[in-house]
Amino acid sequence: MKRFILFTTLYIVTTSFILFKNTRNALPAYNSQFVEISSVSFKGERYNVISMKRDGNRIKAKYFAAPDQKGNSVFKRYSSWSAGKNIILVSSGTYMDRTFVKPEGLTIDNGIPVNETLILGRMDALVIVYATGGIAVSNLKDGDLTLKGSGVDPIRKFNLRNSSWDKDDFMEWAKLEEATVFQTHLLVYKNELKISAINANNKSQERRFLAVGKDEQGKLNHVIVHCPAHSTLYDGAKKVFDFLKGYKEMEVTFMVNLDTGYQDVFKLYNKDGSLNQTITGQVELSTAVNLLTYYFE
Amino acid sequence: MKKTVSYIIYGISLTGLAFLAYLLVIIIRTDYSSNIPQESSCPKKPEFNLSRHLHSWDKSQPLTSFPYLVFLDSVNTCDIDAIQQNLSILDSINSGNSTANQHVIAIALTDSLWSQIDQSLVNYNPDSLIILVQWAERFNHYKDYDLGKAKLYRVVYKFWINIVANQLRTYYDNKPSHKYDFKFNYLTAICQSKNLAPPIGNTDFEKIIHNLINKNFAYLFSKFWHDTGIFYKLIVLMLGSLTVYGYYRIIRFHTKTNVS
Repeated sequence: MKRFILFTTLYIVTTSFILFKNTRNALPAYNSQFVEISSVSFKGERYNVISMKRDGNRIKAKYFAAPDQKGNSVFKRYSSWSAGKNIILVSSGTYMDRTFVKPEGLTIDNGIPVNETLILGRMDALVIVYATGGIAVSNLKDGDLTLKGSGVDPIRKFNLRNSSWDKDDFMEWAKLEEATVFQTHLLVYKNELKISAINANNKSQERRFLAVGKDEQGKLNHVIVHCPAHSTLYDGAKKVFDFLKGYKEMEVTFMVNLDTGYQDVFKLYNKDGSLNQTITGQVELSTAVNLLTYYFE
Repeated sequence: MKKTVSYIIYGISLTGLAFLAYLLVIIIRTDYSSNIPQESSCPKKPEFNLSRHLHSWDKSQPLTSFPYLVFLDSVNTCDIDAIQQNLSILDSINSGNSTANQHVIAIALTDSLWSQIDQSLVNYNPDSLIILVQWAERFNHYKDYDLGKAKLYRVVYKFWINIVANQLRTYYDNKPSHKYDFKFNYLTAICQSKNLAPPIGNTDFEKIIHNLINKNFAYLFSKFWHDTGIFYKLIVLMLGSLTVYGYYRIIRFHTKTNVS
């Protein structure tokens, strides 16, 4: 009897943190032709992969970077927005700063500046999430960002890192276009590994990446790859890039990092709206100060 | 048995003392000096005639052909009248192209000036950054009074606060304990209040404390369970068992003493 109590107690203690993750509201379904969830072994490593086909513009991305003007937190905003929507996944986006309330680096939410600090040197990816549900990434090191709309010359190249004038124009464009923007590590750009082993964070932990590129049929795919095995940012990025090229035969336009540190939130849903346990974050969604979600429309 | 209890108590006490010593080192090494440099008035400089140096200025490529070094060496960058006079000279020479002329002055007062002074800020020197912020702050005020040149002033102002925010990060990378210094926090607060938060994160230790304060025990346990190796788990388990055993022995010792 003593052993039974001991083992039962041990079981509850060691699994209690997982039990509360499974509760969720039932959500409408999405079309599984556009989404593929799989667990794959490649060169001795396991990868959990979510591939989302963007053709037909049925799958869209949305990013929440800050509380709204009424003071509703990012989590509350997401919760009320997602009601009735066909959510595929929701994840933390970029890192949070020391105040635990703001994302690090240049961040704009629907045209409203959340953090105007352009990080120089460390984070080269400027991610723009369009209202249409598309995502584009510019390499800040190249200084060749082009913009459309609000009277901006479409051939003008914006160099945000080296021109404060261009940054001011970009902020004005984002305001007029109600654009959503965040800054993060650029790991792969134009099918080339961009991260260096020397400067990268050498902390070993689970890794999660967002890659966008063309599959073997030339169709646009958004892929989230989760590596459960602990690795440094450089090793993880290199392995996943090899996996995407070698196994998925993908031409990667860009790959950025998703935070698996303090705000390690991730929820994945099946086509019927039930929770999928292939990839789970370690903390509740409410912990995150920024959320990136994919949904089906 | 008493000896065993004593050793355990000593062990726990030593661990506690080592932790307190670590905190003490942080506290002692923190710079609490709060003598913020006073904002000084702009020193007078001899008048500079920019037009003499603009013979080779190509109006079709105003941004790339402007003599930035000559301009910065001669103009009084803290004297708004001098800056405006020079802008008027550009407007008279390159008339009808006011935006490009403002852009030229903006480049001079941002990238060009930064390339001249960046080496002086390599070593941790918060006073220099505070003086820089005091200078940049003037442009923040000018933008509200001179709406025709608001963009120029805004660009200059935000550029420098962004530089200060990034410079704080560089200092933090070189020595993380700088972030407890008074002046470092003073500058951080200024940047944050301008919506240009320095990109400084938290150490693992600070994250643990933050989670403890917020009672995120399940998360802490989950992190410990999933993200640490077997060796780390064994050490923590051993220390935990020793602590529990120590308390057990202490309680038993006192219970027995009270009974006898």
